[in-house]
Amino acid sequence: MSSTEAKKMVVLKSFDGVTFEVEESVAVQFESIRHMFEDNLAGSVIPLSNIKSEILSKVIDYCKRHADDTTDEEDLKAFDADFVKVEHGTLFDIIRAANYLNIKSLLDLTCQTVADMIKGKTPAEIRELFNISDEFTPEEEEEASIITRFIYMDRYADC
Amino acid sequence: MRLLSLWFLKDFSLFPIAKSIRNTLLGIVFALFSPRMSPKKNKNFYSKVENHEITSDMSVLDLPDLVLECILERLPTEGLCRMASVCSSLRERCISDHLWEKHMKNKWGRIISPAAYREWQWHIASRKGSIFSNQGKQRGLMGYLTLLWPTALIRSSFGNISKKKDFPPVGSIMSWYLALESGNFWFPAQVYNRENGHVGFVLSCYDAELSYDRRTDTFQARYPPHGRRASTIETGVTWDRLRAPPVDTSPHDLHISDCLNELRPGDHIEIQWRRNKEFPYGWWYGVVGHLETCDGNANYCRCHDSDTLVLEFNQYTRGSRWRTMSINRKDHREEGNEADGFYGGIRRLKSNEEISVWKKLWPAEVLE
Repeated sequence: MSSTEAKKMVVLKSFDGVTFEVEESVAVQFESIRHMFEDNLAGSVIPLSNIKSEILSKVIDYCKRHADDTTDEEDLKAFDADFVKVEHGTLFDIIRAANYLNIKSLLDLTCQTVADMIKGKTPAEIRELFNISDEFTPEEEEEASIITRFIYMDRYADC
Repeated sequence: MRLLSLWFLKDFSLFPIAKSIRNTLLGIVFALFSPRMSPKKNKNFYSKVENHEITSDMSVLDLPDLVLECILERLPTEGLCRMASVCSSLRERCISDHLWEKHMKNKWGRIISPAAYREWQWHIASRKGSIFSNQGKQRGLMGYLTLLWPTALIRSSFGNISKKKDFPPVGSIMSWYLALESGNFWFPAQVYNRENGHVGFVLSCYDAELSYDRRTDTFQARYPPHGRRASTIETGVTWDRLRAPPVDTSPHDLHISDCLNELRPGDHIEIQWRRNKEFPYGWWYGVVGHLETCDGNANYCRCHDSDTLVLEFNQYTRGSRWRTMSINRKDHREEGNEADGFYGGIRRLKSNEEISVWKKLWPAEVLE
Protein backbone atom coordinates (compact mmCIF):
# COMPACT_ATOMS: atom_id res chain seq x y z
CA MET A 1 0.00 0.00 0.00
CA SER A 2 1.51 3.33 -0.97
CA SER A 3 1.28 6.32 1.28
CA THR A 4 -0.52 8.33 -1.36
CA GLU A 5 -3.39 5.91 -1.41
CA ALA A 6 -6.49 7.23 0.33
CA LYS A 7 -6.76 6.05 3.93
CA LYS A 8 -9.17 3.18 4.42
CA MET A 9 -12.26 4.33 6.25
CA VAL A 10 -14.74 2.44 8.40
CA VAL A 11 -18.29 3.65 8.94
CA LEU A 12 -19.90 3.10 12.34
CA LYS A 13 -23.50 3.78 13.18
CA SER A 14 -24.66 4.53 16.71
CA PHE A 15 -27.95 3.26 18.08
CA ASP A 16 -29.56 6.68 17.60
CA GLY A 17 -28.67 6.57 13.92
CA VAL A 18 -25.63 8.85 13.74
CA THR A 19 -22.87 7.63 11.45
CA PHE A 20 -19.17 8.16 12.09
CA GLU A 21 -16.46 7.75 9.52
CA VAL A 22 -13.32 6.51 11.20
CA GLU A 23 -9.91 5.70 9.78
CA GLU A 24 -9.22 2.02 9.89
CA SER A 25 -6.01 2.66 11.81
CA VAL A 26 -8.18 4.05 14.62
CA ALA A 27 -10.93 1.47 14.37
CA VAL A 28 -8.52 -1.44 14.75
CA GLN A 29 -8.59 -0.69 18.48
CA PHE A 30 -12.19 -1.93 18.54
CA GLU A 31 -11.14 -5.52 19.04
CA SER A 32 -14.59 -7.03 19.04
CA ILE A 33 -15.69 -5.64 15.67
CA ARG A 34 -12.30 -5.69 14.03
CA HIS A 35 -13.08 -8.76 11.96
CA MET A 36 -16.07 -6.96 10.42
CA PHE A 37 -14.02 -4.39 8.59
CA GLU A 38 -10.97 -6.56 8.15
CA ASP A 39 -13.06 -9.15 6.35
CA ASN A 40 -13.11 -6.76 3.46
CA LEU A 41 -16.50 -5.33 4.12
CA ALA A 42 -15.19 -1.90 3.21
CA GLY A 43 -17.88 0.62 2.59
CA SER A 44 -20.56 -1.15 4.52
CA VAL A 45 -21.87 0.43 7.70
CA ILE A 46 -21.21 -1.32 11.00
CA PRO A 47 -24.14 -0.86 13.35
CA LEU A 48 -23.38 -0.43 17.06
CA SER A 49 -26.86 -0.84 18.34
CA ASN A 50 -26.13 -0.27 22.00
CA ILE A 51 -23.89 2.77 21.95
CA LYS A 52 -25.30 6.29 21.93
CA SER A 53 -23.79 8.78 19.48
CA GLU A 54 -22.62 10.97 22.36
CA ILE A 55 -20.65 8.10 23.83
CA LEU A 56 -19.42 6.72 20.52
CA SER A 57 -18.01 10.09 19.61
CA LYS A 58 -16.08 10.20 22.88
CA VAL A 59 -14.77 6.69 22.40
CA ILE A 60 -13.65 7.52 18.88
CA ASP A 61 -11.91 10.62 20.20
CA TYR A 62 -10.09 8.50 22.72
CA CYS A 63 -9.00 5.98 20.11
CA LYS A 64 -7.88 8.69 17.71
CA ARG A 65 -5.66 10.13 20.40
CA HIS A 66 -4.25 6.76 21.25
CA ALA A 67 -3.66 5.83 17.61
CA ASP A 68 -1.63 8.97 17.03
CA ASP A 69 2.04 8.05 17.34
CA THR A 70 3.11 11.66 17.48
CA THR A 71 1.46 12.37 20.84
CA ASP A 72 4.00 12.16 23.64
CA GLU A 73 3.31 10.20 26.77
CA GLU A 74 2.81 13.15 29.08
CA ASP A 75 0.20 14.67 26.78
CA LEU A 76 -1.56 11.36 26.55
CA LYS A 77 -1.68 11.09 30.33
CA ALA A 78 -3.13 14.56 30.58
CA PHE A 79 -5.66 13.69 27.90
CA ASP A 80 -6.68 10.52 29.76
CA ALA A 81 -7.04 12.38 33.05
CA ASP A 82 -9.27 14.91 31.35
CA PHE A 83 -11.18 12.30 29.42
CA VAL A 84 -12.58 10.63 32.55
CA LYS A 85 -13.72 13.88 34.13
CA VAL A 86 -17.33 13.27 33.16
CA GLU A 87 -20.57 12.61 34.95
CA HIS A 88 -20.86 9.16 36.41
CA GLY A 89 -23.63 8.14 34.04
CA THR A 90 -21.42 9.04 31.09
CA LEU A 91 -18.46 7.26 32.64
CA PHE A 92 -20.49 4.07 33.06
CA ASP A 93 -21.71 4.36 29.48
CA ILE A 94 -18.12 4.68 28.30
CA ILE A 95 -17.19 1.63 30.37
CA ARG A 96 -19.96 -0.38 28.76
CA ALA A 97 -18.91 0.78 25.31
CA ALA A 98 -15.26 -0.04 26.02
CA ASN A 99 -16.32 -3.43 27.26
CA TYR A 100 -18.55 -4.05 24.25
CA LEU A 101 -15.95 -2.93 21.75
CA ASN A 102 -13.21 -4.62 23.80
CA ILE A 103 -10.85 -1.64 23.99
CA LYS A 104 -8.54 -2.81 26.72
CA SER A 105 -6.69 0.43 27.49
CA LEU A 106 -9.95 2.37 27.76
CA LEU A 107 -11.48 -0.29 29.98
CA ASP A 108 -8.41 -0.18 32.22
CA LEU A 109 -8.53 3.59 32.40
CA THR A 110 -12.21 3.81 33.25
CA CYS A 111 -12.25 0.91 35.72
CA GLN A 112 -9.30 2.48 37.50
CA THR A 113 -11.23 5.74 37.64
CA VAL A 114 -14.17 4.04 39.32
CA ALA A 115 -11.85 2.21 41.72
CA ASP A 116 -10.23 5.53 42.65
CA MET A 117 -13.65 7.00 43.38
CA ILE A 118 -14.39 4.18 45.81
CA LYS A 119 -11.17 4.57 47.74
CA GLY A 120 -11.67 6.35 51.01
CA LYS A 121 -15.45 6.55 50.83
CA THR A 122 -17.77 5.23 53.50
CA PRO A 123 -20.29 2.56 52.50
CA ALA A 124 -23.04 5.20 52.67
CA GLU A 125 -21.12 7.47 50.36
CA ILE A 126 -20.51 4.61 47.96
CA ARG A 127 -24.22 3.81 47.89
CA GLU A 128 -24.97 7.40 47.14
CA LEU A 129 -22.29 7.59 44.49
CA PHE A 130 -23.36 4.49 42.62
CA ASN A 131 -27.06 4.66 43.14
CA ILE A 132 -27.30 1.49 45.19
CA SER A 133 -30.31 1.00 47.38
CA ASP A 134 -29.61 0.03 50.94
CA GLU A 135 -30.13 -3.67 51.41
CA PHE A 136 -28.48 -4.21 54.75
CA THR A 137 -30.00 -4.32 58.17
CA PRO A 138 -28.32 -1.84 60.50
CA GLU A 139 -26.66 -4.75 62.33
CA GLU A 140 -25.17 -6.15 59.15
CA GLU A 141 -23.91 -2.77 58.22
CA GLU A 142 -22.40 -2.16 61.61
CA GLU A 143 -20.75 -5.54 61.56
CA ALA A 144 -19.05 -4.73 58.32
CA SER A 145 -18.11 -1.16 59.03
CA ILE A 146 -16.65 -2.06 62.39
CA ILE A 147 -14.32 -4.44 60.65
CA THR A 148 -13.32 -1.71 58.28
CA ARG A 149 -12.70 0.70 61.09
CA PHE A 150 -11.06 -1.80 63.31
CA ILE A 151 -8.61 -2.81 60.67
CA TYR A 152 -8.03 0.50 59.05
CA MET A 153 -8.77 2.99 61.78
CA ASP A 154 -5.51 4.80 61.39
CA ARG A 155 -5.97 5.35 57.70
CA TYR A 156 -9.69 5.93 57.75
CA ALA A 157 -9.53 9.64 58.41
CA ASP A 158 -6.88 10.31 55.83
CA CYS A 159 -9.01 9.17 52.95
CA MET B 1 -18.52 -17.41 82.64
CA ARG B 2 -18.51 -15.36 79.49
CA LEU B 3 -22.22 -15.95 78.97
CA LEU B 4 -22.96 -15.00 82.54
CA SER B 5 -21.23 -11.66 82.37
CA LEU B 6 -22.95 -10.98 79.10
CA TRP B 7 -26.44 -11.52 80.46
CA PHE B 8 -25.58 -9.69 83.56
CA LEU B 9 -24.66 -6.68 81.54
CA LYS B 10 -27.76 -6.88 79.41
CA ASP B 11 -30.19 -6.98 82.31
CA PHE B 12 -28.29 -4.56 84.36
CA SER B 13 -28.34 -2.00 81.63
CA LEU B 14 -31.94 -1.20 82.55
CA PHE B 15 -30.59 0.69 85.49
CA PRO B 16 -29.33 4.18 84.80
CA ILE B 17 -26.14 3.79 86.80
CA ALA B 18 -25.22 0.64 85.01
CA LYS B 19 -26.00 2.38 81.77
CA SER B 20 -23.58 5.13 82.51
CA ILE B 21 -20.94 2.56 83.38
CA ARG B 22 -21.61 0.89 80.09
CA ASN B 23 -21.36 4.16 78.27
CA THR B 24 -18.02 4.77 79.89
CA LEU B 25 -16.86 1.40 78.68
CA LEU B 26 -18.12 2.24 75.23
CA GLY B 27 -16.28 5.49 75.43
CA ILE B 28 -13.09 3.58 76.10
CA VAL B 29 -13.65 1.41 73.08
CA PHE B 30 -14.23 4.38 70.89
CA ALA B 31 -11.24 6.15 72.35
CA LEU B 32 -9.23 3.08 71.46
CA PHE B 33 -10.52 3.32 67.94
CA SER B 34 -9.23 6.88 67.96
CA PRO B 35 -11.50 9.87 67.51
CA ARG B 36 -10.77 10.06 63.82
CA MET B 37 -12.73 6.92 63.12
CA SER B 38 -16.09 8.56 62.58
CA PRO B 39 -16.92 8.74 58.92
CA LYS B 40 -16.45 12.12 57.42
CA LYS B 41 -19.61 13.82 56.36
CA ASN B 42 -18.58 16.20 53.74
CA LYS B 43 -21.34 18.57 52.79
CA ASN B 44 -19.78 19.47 49.51
CA PHE B 45 -19.66 15.86 48.57
CA TYR B 46 -23.36 15.35 49.09
CA SER B 47 -24.38 18.49 47.28
CA LYS B 48 -22.21 17.38 44.39
CA VAL B 49 -23.97 14.07 44.39
CA GLU B 50 -27.34 15.75 44.32
CA ASN B 51 -26.35 18.08 41.53
CA HIS B 52 -25.52 15.67 38.83
CA GLU B 53 -24.39 12.27 39.89
CA ILE B 54 -27.85 11.08 40.83
CA THR B 55 -29.21 12.09 37.45
CA SER B 56 -28.04 8.79 36.04
CA ASP B 57 -30.16 5.79 36.97
CA MET B 58 -27.24 3.62 36.22
CA SER B 59 -25.90 1.72 39.17
CA VAL B 60 -22.49 0.16 39.41
CA LEU B 61 -24.35 -3.12 39.87
CA ASP B 62 -25.75 -2.87 36.34
CA LEU B 63 -22.31 -3.11 34.84
CA PRO B 64 -21.43 -6.40 33.18
CA ASP B 65 -19.95 -8.92 35.63
CA LEU B 66 -16.51 -8.89 34.12
CA VAL B 67 -16.34 -5.11 34.28
CA LEU B 68 -17.35 -5.08 37.92
CA GLU B 69 -14.67 -7.68 38.60
CA CYS B 70 -12.21 -5.49 36.77
CA ILE B 71 -13.06 -2.61 39.12
CA LEU B 72 -12.91 -4.71 42.29
CA GLU B 73 -9.54 -6.12 41.27
CA ARG B 74 -8.17 -2.60 41.35
CA LEU B 75 -9.29 -1.88 44.89
CA PRO B 76 -6.92 -2.02 47.85
CA THR B 77 -8.02 -4.23 50.75
CA GLU B 78 -9.70 -1.42 52.62
CA GLY B 79 -11.67 -0.56 49.48
CA LEU B 80 -12.84 -4.18 49.33
CA CYS B 81 -13.85 -4.04 53.00
CA ARG B 82 -15.85 -0.91 52.33
CA MET B 83 -17.48 -2.28 49.20
CA ALA B 84 -18.37 -5.38 51.20
CA SER B 85 -20.35 -3.10 53.49
CA VAL B 86 -22.38 -1.53 50.71
CA CYS B 87 -24.94 -4.19 49.88
CA SER B 88 -25.29 -7.95 49.94
CA SER B 89 -24.51 -8.56 46.29
CA LEU B 90 -21.30 -6.54 46.55
CA ARG B 91 -20.48 -8.27 49.81
CA GLU B 92 -20.73 -11.59 48.10
CA ARG B 93 -18.30 -10.49 45.44
CA CYS B 94 -15.89 -8.70 47.75
CA ILE B 95 -15.29 -11.65 50.04
CA SER B 96 -14.28 -13.89 47.17
CA ASP B 97 -10.93 -15.59 47.58
CA HIS B 98 -9.58 -14.71 44.18
CA LEU B 99 -9.74 -10.98 44.99
CA TRP B 100 -7.93 -11.48 48.30
CA GLU B 101 -5.38 -13.96 47.07
CA LYS B 102 -3.47 -11.25 45.26
CA HIS B 103 -3.40 -8.98 48.31
CA MET B 104 -2.46 -11.89 50.53
CA LYS B 105 0.43 -12.74 48.27
CA ASN B 106 1.61 -9.17 47.86
CA LYS B 107 1.61 -8.25 51.50
CA TRP B 108 2.15 -11.52 53.36
CA GLY B 109 3.47 -13.96 50.78
CA ARG B 110 7.13 -13.56 51.64
CA ILE B 111 6.85 -14.20 55.37
CA ILE B 112 3.89 -16.54 55.64
CA SER B 113 4.79 -20.21 55.47
CA PRO B 114 2.59 -23.27 55.08
CA ALA B 115 3.19 -23.79 58.81
CA ALA B 116 1.68 -20.40 59.62
CA TYR B 117 -1.33 -21.22 57.48
CA ARG B 118 -1.66 -24.60 59.17
CA GLU B 119 -1.66 -22.84 62.52
CA TRP B 120 -4.44 -20.56 61.33
CA GLN B 121 -6.45 -23.54 60.09
CA TRP B 122 -5.95 -25.27 63.39
CA HIS B 123 -6.90 -22.10 65.17
CA ILE B 124 -10.21 -21.64 63.41
CA ALA B 125 -11.02 -25.33 63.60
CA SER B 126 -10.38 -25.55 67.31
CA ARG B 127 -12.40 -22.44 67.98
CA LYS B 128 -15.34 -23.75 66.04
CA GLY B 129 -15.10 -27.13 67.66
CA SER B 130 -14.85 -26.21 71.28
CA ILE B 131 -15.28 -22.65 72.37
CA PHE B 132 -18.22 -21.87 70.16
CA SER B 133 -19.83 -25.24 69.92
CA ASN B 134 -22.42 -24.39 72.54
CA GLN B 135 -23.29 -21.05 71.10
CA GLY B 136 -22.85 -22.25 67.58
CA LYS B 137 -23.30 -18.86 66.06
CA GLN B 138 -20.51 -16.53 66.87
CA ARG B 139 -17.80 -17.30 64.40
CA GLY B 140 -15.79 -15.40 61.86
CA LEU B 141 -13.49 -12.56 62.73
CA MET B 142 -16.04 -11.21 65.15
CA GLY B 143 -16.00 -14.44 67.05
CA TYR B 144 -12.28 -14.29 66.92
CA LEU B 145 -12.19 -10.79 68.32
CA THR B 146 -14.47 -11.79 71.16
CA LEU B 147 -11.83 -14.22 72.25
CA LEU B 148 -9.31 -11.50 72.58
CA TRP B 149 -11.39 -8.62 73.82
CA PRO B 150 -13.44 -8.34 76.99
CA THR B 151 -16.82 -9.76 76.11
CA ALA B 152 -18.74 -6.82 77.47
CA LEU B 153 -16.94 -4.37 75.24
CA ILE B 154 -17.47 -6.50 72.20
CA ARG B 155 -21.08 -6.94 73.06
CA SER B 156 -21.76 -3.27 73.44
CA SER B 157 -19.79 -2.07 70.47
CA PHE B 158 -20.54 -4.81 68.01
CA GLY B 159 -24.22 -5.09 68.75
CA ASN B 160 -26.19 -8.22 68.18
CA ILE B 161 -24.24 -9.61 65.31
CA SER B 162 -24.01 -13.20 66.32
CA LYS B 163 -27.11 -14.24 64.40
CA LYS B 164 -25.78 -13.09 61.08
CA LYS B 165 -23.98 -15.10 58.47
CA ASP B 166 -20.26 -15.24 58.94
CA PHE B 167 -18.59 -12.11 57.78
CA PRO B 168 -15.97 -12.52 56.67
CA PRO B 169 -16.46 -16.26 56.17
CA VAL B 170 -14.29 -18.27 58.55
CA GLY B 171 -12.33 -20.19 55.97
CA SER B 172 -11.91 -17.32 53.53
CA ILE B 173 -8.65 -15.69 52.56
CA MET B 174 -10.25 -12.39 53.56
CA SER B 175 -10.57 -13.48 57.18
CA TRP B 176 -7.05 -14.91 57.12
CA TYR B 177 -5.76 -11.61 55.75
CA LEU B 178 -7.66 -9.56 58.31
CA ALA B 179 -6.52 -11.77 61.18
CA LEU B 180 -2.91 -11.08 60.19
CA GLU B 181 -3.51 -7.41 59.48
CA SER B 182 -5.27 -6.83 62.79
CA GLY B 183 -2.29 -8.22 64.68
CA ASN B 184 -4.53 -10.47 66.74
CA PHE B 185 -3.19 -13.63 65.24
CA TRP B 186 0.36 -14.59 66.20
CA PHE B 187 1.97 -16.52 63.39
CA PRO B 188 5.23 -18.46 63.27
CA ALA B 189 8.11 -17.05 61.22
CA GLN B 190 11.83 -16.47 61.61
CA VAL B 191 13.62 -13.30 62.71
CA TYR B 192 17.14 -12.34 61.63
CA ASN B 193 19.47 -10.92 64.29
CA ARG B 194 16.97 -11.45 67.05
CA GLU B 195 16.61 -9.08 69.96
CA ASN B 196 17.63 -5.93 68.12
CA GLY B 197 20.86 -7.37 66.83
CA HIS B 198 22.00 -8.51 70.28
CA VAL B 199 25.68 -9.32 69.81
CA GLY B 200 25.06 -12.95 70.72
CA PHE B 201 22.69 -13.37 67.78
CA VAL B 202 24.35 -11.51 64.92
CA LEU B 203 23.95 -13.34 61.59
CA SER B 204 21.46 -15.82 62.91
CA CYS B 205 17.81 -16.42 62.25
CA TYR B 206 15.50 -17.74 64.96
CA ASP B 207 11.95 -18.98 65.11
CA ALA B 208 9.44 -16.73 66.83
CA GLU B 209 5.76 -15.95 67.03
CA LEU B 210 4.96 -12.67 65.28
CA SER B 211 2.14 -10.18 65.56
CA TYR B 212 1.74 -7.31 63.14
CA ASP B 213 1.31 -3.75 64.33
CA ARG B 214 -0.38 -1.87 61.53
CA ARG B 215 0.18 1.54 63.14
CA THR B 216 3.92 1.27 62.89
CA ASP B 217 4.02 -1.28 60.07
CA THR B 218 6.34 -3.42 62.18
CA PHE B 219 6.01 -6.61 64.23
CA GLN B 220 6.19 -7.83 67.76
CA ALA B 221 8.26 -10.96 68.11
CA ARG B 222 7.81 -13.45 70.92
CA TYR B 223 10.77 -15.80 71.25
CA PRO B 224 10.21 -19.14 72.93
CA PRO B 225 11.80 -19.67 76.36
CA HIS B 226 15.54 -20.34 76.14
CA GLY B 227 16.23 -22.89 78.83
CA ARG B 228 15.66 -21.12 82.09
CA ARG B 229 15.42 -17.76 80.36
CA ALA B 230 11.78 -16.75 80.08
CA SER B 231 10.34 -15.94 76.68
CA THR B 232 11.40 -12.55 75.37
CA ILE B 233 9.37 -10.02 73.45
CA GLU B 234 10.88 -7.63 70.95
CA THR B 235 8.87 -4.81 69.41
CA GLY B 236 9.43 -2.81 66.25
CA VAL B 237 10.77 -5.71 64.19
CA THR B 238 10.90 -4.51 60.59
CA TRP B 239 9.77 -6.48 57.54
CA ASP B 240 13.31 -6.97 56.25
CA ARG B 241 14.24 -8.90 59.39
CA LEU B 242 11.57 -11.55 58.81
CA ARG B 243 11.35 -14.60 56.65
CA ALA B 244 9.16 -17.64 56.28
CA PRO B 245 11.04 -20.69 57.56
CA PRO B 246 12.85 -22.03 54.48
CA VAL B 247 12.52 -25.64 55.64
CA ASP B 248 9.70 -27.28 57.49
CA THR B 249 11.87 -28.38 60.42
CA SER B 250 10.85 -27.51 63.96
CA PRO B 251 13.48 -25.52 65.88
CA HIS B 252 13.67 -28.45 68.27
CA ASP B 253 14.42 -31.02 65.58
CA LEU B 254 17.64 -31.74 63.80
CA HIS B 255 17.42 -30.81 60.13
CA ILE B 256 18.52 -33.66 57.90
CA SER B 257 21.31 -32.25 55.74
CA ASP B 258 20.98 -33.34 52.15
CA CYS B 259 23.76 -31.25 50.67
CA LEU B 260 26.87 -32.45 52.51
CA ASN B 261 28.41 -34.29 49.57
CA GLU B 262 27.94 -31.48 47.11
CA LEU B 263 29.38 -28.65 49.24
CA ARG B 264 32.52 -26.98 47.89
CA PRO B 265 34.69 -24.15 49.19
CA GLY B 266 32.96 -20.82 48.66
CA ASP B 267 29.42 -22.21 48.98
CA HIS B 268 27.10 -20.29 51.26
CA ILE B 269 25.34 -22.25 53.95
CA GLU B 270 23.15 -22.00 57.00
CA ILE B 271 23.70 -24.34 59.90
CA GLN B 272 21.55 -25.09 62.90
CA TRP B 273 23.20 -24.23 66.18
CA ARG B 274 22.04 -24.31 69.76
CA ARG B 275 23.69 -23.42 73.02
CA ASN B 276 22.61 -26.64 74.68
CA LYS B 277 20.26 -29.46 74.06
CA GLU B 278 17.32 -27.86 75.83
CA PHE B 279 17.41 -24.77 73.62
CA PRO B 280 15.78 -24.41 70.24
CA TYR B 281 18.05 -24.29 67.19
CA GLY B 282 18.66 -21.09 65.28
CA TRP B 283 20.02 -20.89 61.73
CA TRP B 284 23.50 -19.35 61.41
CA TYR B 285 25.14 -18.06 58.26
CA GLY B 286 28.53 -19.30 57.12
CA VAL B 287 30.59 -20.31 54.10
CA VAL B 288 32.42 -23.47 53.18
CA GLY B 289 36.21 -22.98 53.62
CA HIS B 290 39.35 -24.83 52.62
CA LEU B 291 41.14 -27.48 54.63
CA GLU B 292 44.20 -26.32 56.53
CA THR B 293 46.39 -28.29 54.12
CA CYS B 294 44.98 -26.46 51.08
CA ASP B 295 46.14 -23.03 50.01
CA GLY B 296 42.93 -22.33 48.15
CA ASN B 297 44.48 -22.51 44.69
CA ALA B 298 41.64 -23.68 42.50
CA ASN B 299 43.92 -25.83 40.32
CA TYR B 300 45.09 -27.99 43.18
CA CYS B 301 42.21 -27.76 45.63
CA ARG B 302 40.71 -31.16 46.46
CA CYS B 303 38.80 -30.02 49.51
CA HIS B 304 35.52 -31.24 48.03
CA ASP B 305 36.88 -34.80 47.96
CA SER B 306 37.76 -34.79 51.63
CA ASP B 307 35.47 -36.26 54.26
CA THR B 308 36.18 -33.24 56.40
CA LEU B 309 34.08 -30.20 55.71
CA VAL B 310 35.37 -26.87 56.97
CA LEU B 311 32.79 -24.19 57.78
CA GLU B 312 33.83 -20.59 58.27
CA PHE B 313 31.98 -17.89 60.11
CA ASN B 314 33.91 -14.85 58.94
CA GLN B 315 31.89 -12.41 60.99
CA TYR B 316 34.07 -13.56 63.91
CA THR B 317 37.64 -12.48 64.34
CA ARG B 318 40.47 -14.89 63.44
CA GLY B 319 41.19 -17.14 66.39
CA SER B 320 37.72 -16.78 67.86
CA ARG B 321 36.28 -20.15 68.85
CA TRP B 322 33.27 -19.33 66.69
CA ARG B 323 35.32 -18.67 63.58
CA THR B 324 35.64 -22.18 62.12
CA MET B 325 34.10 -25.57 62.61
CA SER B 326 34.94 -28.88 60.99
CA ILE B 327 32.45 -31.65 60.50
CA ASN B 328 32.47 -35.01 58.83
CA ARG B 329 30.58 -35.13 55.57
CA LYS B 330 29.83 -38.83 55.87
CA ASP B 331 28.16 -39.08 59.24
CA HIS B 332 27.40 -35.58 60.42
CA ARG B 333 24.33 -35.26 62.58
CA GLU B 334 24.87 -33.04 65.57
CA GLU B 335 28.32 -32.09 66.72
CA GLY B 336 29.53 -30.05 69.67
CA ASN B 337 29.73 -29.81 73.41
CA GLU B 338 28.34 -27.82 76.31
CA ALA B 339 31.03 -25.13 75.97
CA ASP B 340 30.82 -24.39 72.25
CA GLY B 341 27.23 -25.34 71.67
CA PHE B 342 25.92 -27.88 69.18
CA TYR B 343 26.08 -27.66 65.39
CA GLY B 344 23.18 -29.39 63.65
CA GLY B 345 21.83 -29.72 60.13
CA ILE B 346 23.13 -27.73 57.18
CA ARG B 347 21.31 -26.26 54.23
CA ARG B 348 23.07 -24.91 51.20
CA LEU B 349 21.94 -21.45 50.05
CA LYS B 350 21.25 -21.63 46.37
CA SER B 351 19.54 -18.34 45.67
CA ASN B 352 21.40 -15.07 45.45
CA GLU B 353 18.44 -13.47 47.13
CA GLU B 354 18.97 -15.46 50.32
CA ILE B 355 22.71 -14.79 50.29
CA SER B 356 22.23 -11.08 49.78
CA VAL B 357 19.92 -10.85 52.80
CA TRP B 358 22.73 -12.20 54.97
CA LYS B 359 25.22 -9.82 53.38
CA LYS B 360 23.01 -6.87 54.19
CA LEU B 361 22.98 -7.95 57.82
CA TRP B 362 26.77 -8.18 57.97
CA PRO B 363 27.98 -6.45 61.17
CA ALA B 364 29.99 -3.23 60.90
CA GLU B 365 32.66 -4.62 63.21
CA VAL B 366 34.23 -8.05 63.45
CA LEU B 367 32.86 -10.03 66.36
CA GLU B 368 35.05 -11.44 69.13
